[in-house]
Amino acid sequence: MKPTVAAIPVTRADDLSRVREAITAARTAGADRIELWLFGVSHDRYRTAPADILLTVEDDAIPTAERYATPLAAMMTERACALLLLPAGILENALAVRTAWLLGAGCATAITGIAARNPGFAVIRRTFGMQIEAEIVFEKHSCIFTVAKDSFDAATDDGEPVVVSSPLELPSNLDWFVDFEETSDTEEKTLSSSSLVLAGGRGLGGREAAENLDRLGERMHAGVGATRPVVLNAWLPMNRMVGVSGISVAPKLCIAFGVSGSIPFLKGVEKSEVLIAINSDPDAIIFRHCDVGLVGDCTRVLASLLEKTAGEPDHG
Amino acid sequence: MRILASFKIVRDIDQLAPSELVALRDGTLDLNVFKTIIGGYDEAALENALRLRDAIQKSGGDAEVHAATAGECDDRFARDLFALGITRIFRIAPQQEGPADIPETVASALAELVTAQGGYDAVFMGRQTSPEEHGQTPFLLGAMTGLPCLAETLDLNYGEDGIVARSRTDAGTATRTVTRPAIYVMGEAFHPYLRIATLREKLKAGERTVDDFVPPPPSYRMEKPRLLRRIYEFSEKTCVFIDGVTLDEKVDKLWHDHLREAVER
Repeated sequence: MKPTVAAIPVTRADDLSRVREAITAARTAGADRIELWLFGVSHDRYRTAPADILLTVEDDAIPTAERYATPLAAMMTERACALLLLPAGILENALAVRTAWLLGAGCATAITGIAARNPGFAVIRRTFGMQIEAEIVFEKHSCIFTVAKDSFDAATDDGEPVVVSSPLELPSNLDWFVDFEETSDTEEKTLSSSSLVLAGGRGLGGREAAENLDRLGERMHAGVGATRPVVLNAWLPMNRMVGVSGISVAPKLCIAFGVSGSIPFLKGVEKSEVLIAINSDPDAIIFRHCDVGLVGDCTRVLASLLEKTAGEPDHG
Repeated sequence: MRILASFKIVRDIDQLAPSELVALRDGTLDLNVFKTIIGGYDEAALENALRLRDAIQKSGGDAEVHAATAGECDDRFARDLFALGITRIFRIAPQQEGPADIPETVASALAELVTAQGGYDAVFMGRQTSPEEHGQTPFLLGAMTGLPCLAETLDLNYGEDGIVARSRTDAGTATRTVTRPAIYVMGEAFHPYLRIATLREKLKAGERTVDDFVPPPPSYRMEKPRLLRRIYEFSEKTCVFIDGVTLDEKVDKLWHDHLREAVER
């Protein structure tokens, strides 16, 4: 018997592509019915989503996993849903785990692959510092997974889902925090849409070189990102981190300065058409994963490139 | 205020060579040859627990930090943590062995510890730990204890109204004043590294011992995942190296062959 699947875009109205990725995951898992459950999100943007049902749940309070988990578990039971797929995110990962515990379901976060088994599902996720994947199996119960970004192609076809309003009333009390203020971050959108990206790693050696990288980026009209060590050392802001835990970029050209080549970073730049790496260590791991390599001191290369672009204006 | 920070001692397996990854995939890699460290995100949990303690004490309040770990914890780590002013360290007796860590096991044990200790006002945990990196334990602990979780906590301040926490959200960043006991899940925090104890602090700490905590066997609610296989295939790109006698020659080639057109475009 094939499962009924629900993919849930929880509160976020702006990322339709993530929902379409989850729909592809649902199809891959062999779903014969797909429902989208929209929590406090207008169904207008999803009218042509390739799903069977749009179930809308009214909500205008701040979304939290603590508020949504119990209603979500109830919905899953009520609608005989064997598989829940959420686009992986900060809220969704927490929600998936809490809901799975309430239901006694199987749970895995950030899956990169899925297959139906008889019974149950097999999913693939990254382990050991993202260096190696594990295929794990759930055979007995309902399952709740979050889907890692860019792991499935976004479904491109359209559908005519039936819109249904859920009578469910969500708890609105937020009894564990007050004075909530949220600031949107546009840095990710800027960097992820840049056609030329410069990325700095630990080899920059300090904030001065990082600032030079910023300056070069301005002159070259490039987005400037950084590896985890760079942002943790506060050489560049946290919101510039490129990698699995940060921003994924897909430029025509990415140049990595002083980056050793950790797998989480490489995952963030793997969609670059061309990756050029500059590193003083000829055995640096990044040279196994790039298209063009330059062995040399990245800070001196930076200085030289700044000289060559001296005629370009500094923006910002 | 009573603060608990959980941590895990892991093997330092960052940047394994392809041959080692193949051995890991095939189950033949001896992880015991790698040095032990505190898990990266757990370092942030410990440091931010101590920072919260410092902030409370600076404002004239009382605060103490306990630490808990499931798994190995040799004297080297315990000594350093005691030297940093952590007043108790609980070593949770292992409940299960197997090829995959089970988040529900660890969360259940921590929940028992929290209850046995009469509750904590703040619990700090790393987002995930090696090797399986499930990322579930903090939220399971929250579900079991009824504590809310603040995922991706960046940093905290302590003021008149209590704990003001800044965190990453799916939209950007958020600040909020937390009004009840909660779990703070540390990801890419602003203060990610655990401070280093001075020699004076280490001497002052003297000889302290870790408390062993034996939780009752957990009653599992969730289905335990079964590891089917590990997957790894090494595929190396053919990198074309820019040649040149001097660095200036190489940079010239880099500029002319790859960058100038991109800039002019």
